[in-house]
Amino acid sequence: MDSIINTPVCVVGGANTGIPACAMAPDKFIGAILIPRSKTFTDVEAVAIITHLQALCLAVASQRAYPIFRFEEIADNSEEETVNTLGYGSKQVAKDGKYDWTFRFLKGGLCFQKKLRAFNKADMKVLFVDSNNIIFGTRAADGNITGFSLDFFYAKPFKAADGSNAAIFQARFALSKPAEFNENVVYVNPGVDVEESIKGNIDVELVQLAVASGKVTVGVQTVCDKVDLFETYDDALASGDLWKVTKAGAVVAVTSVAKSATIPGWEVSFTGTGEHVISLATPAELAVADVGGVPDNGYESDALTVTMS
Amino acid sequence: MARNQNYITMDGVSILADAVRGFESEKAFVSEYDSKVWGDKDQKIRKALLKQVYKIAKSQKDENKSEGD
Repeated sequence: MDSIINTPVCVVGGANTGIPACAMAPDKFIGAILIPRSKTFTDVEAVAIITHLQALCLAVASQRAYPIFRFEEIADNSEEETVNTLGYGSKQVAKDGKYDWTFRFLKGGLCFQKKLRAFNKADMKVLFVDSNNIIFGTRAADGNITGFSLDFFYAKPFKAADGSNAAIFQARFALSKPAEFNENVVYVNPGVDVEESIKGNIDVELVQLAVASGKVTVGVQTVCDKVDLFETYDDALASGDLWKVTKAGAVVAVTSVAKSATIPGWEVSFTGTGEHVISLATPAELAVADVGGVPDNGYESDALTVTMS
Repeated sequence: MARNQNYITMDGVSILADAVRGFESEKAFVSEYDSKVWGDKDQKIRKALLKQVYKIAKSQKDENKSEGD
């Protein structure tokens, strides 16, 4: 190539400015889905993104997706762009402002807020969902689709009702890279109601109802609202595959599980004395047995410690 | 009635097949489990169900045996 003398080289910027017949603009955001930082979807996977997200909701905790819906209001505290004024009075844009959105919820109350606050120090990415059920993400460095990077997620302490207003529950999403939602945005229309299709797991607690030699009668109820699962899942949970017993970390064989004939619970039998820990199977295993899962919420149990004599 | 590799599940009761096969006889198994499961059912029905569980557990063992042959 020949050298060019005394000719400045200008960068040709910009892009064509014809207006498309059908414009895309995000509508009100009604929900968000927290996903693991390393999680990406190929464009092929994005075609069935609802199925992939449903599976992620039931995955082990480190790989799980956590949908958060029922946003009722937004407070937009996004920054303006930073403009430098130079010595001679000229101005230039130094950087884009960052998005900083706070959403208010009406549903869920203190218990839901407590769950959200468990993410306050989590290092996750986020997909947003608008009222047209469009899922928004961005391009990852490898070309796949991922969530937006967060400076932080912060579920705020609730604000008390004051006689005129109900208690206020809010969560704040501070996005770290404005370009992800502008130059690199990806939006997927799954053609379904996303909130109805992707549901978070409900925590359930195991309750010791009775204990006898080699047998514990266990009740299962939701943690937040204490709904007993016996009426709904009396037969489904009477399955040895869905219960796990350990002693000092070692698996103990469950010899039988029977729905109790006398109290609303399940009789879990095993051999051994001393302290044992009982829990239910994973949310994915429970879903296979039609205990929660698509199209409803999945269930995840805590651990019940019992002492056998 | 669901049949699982490890558990025999029927009518709200799930029993570990290996535990069933651990009994020397059907009589011993029925005698042991008669007081443990299906307490809300008539004893005649309960015993019939337990005998069915025992037969399934034994047949699973036989199936596995013939597959291994």
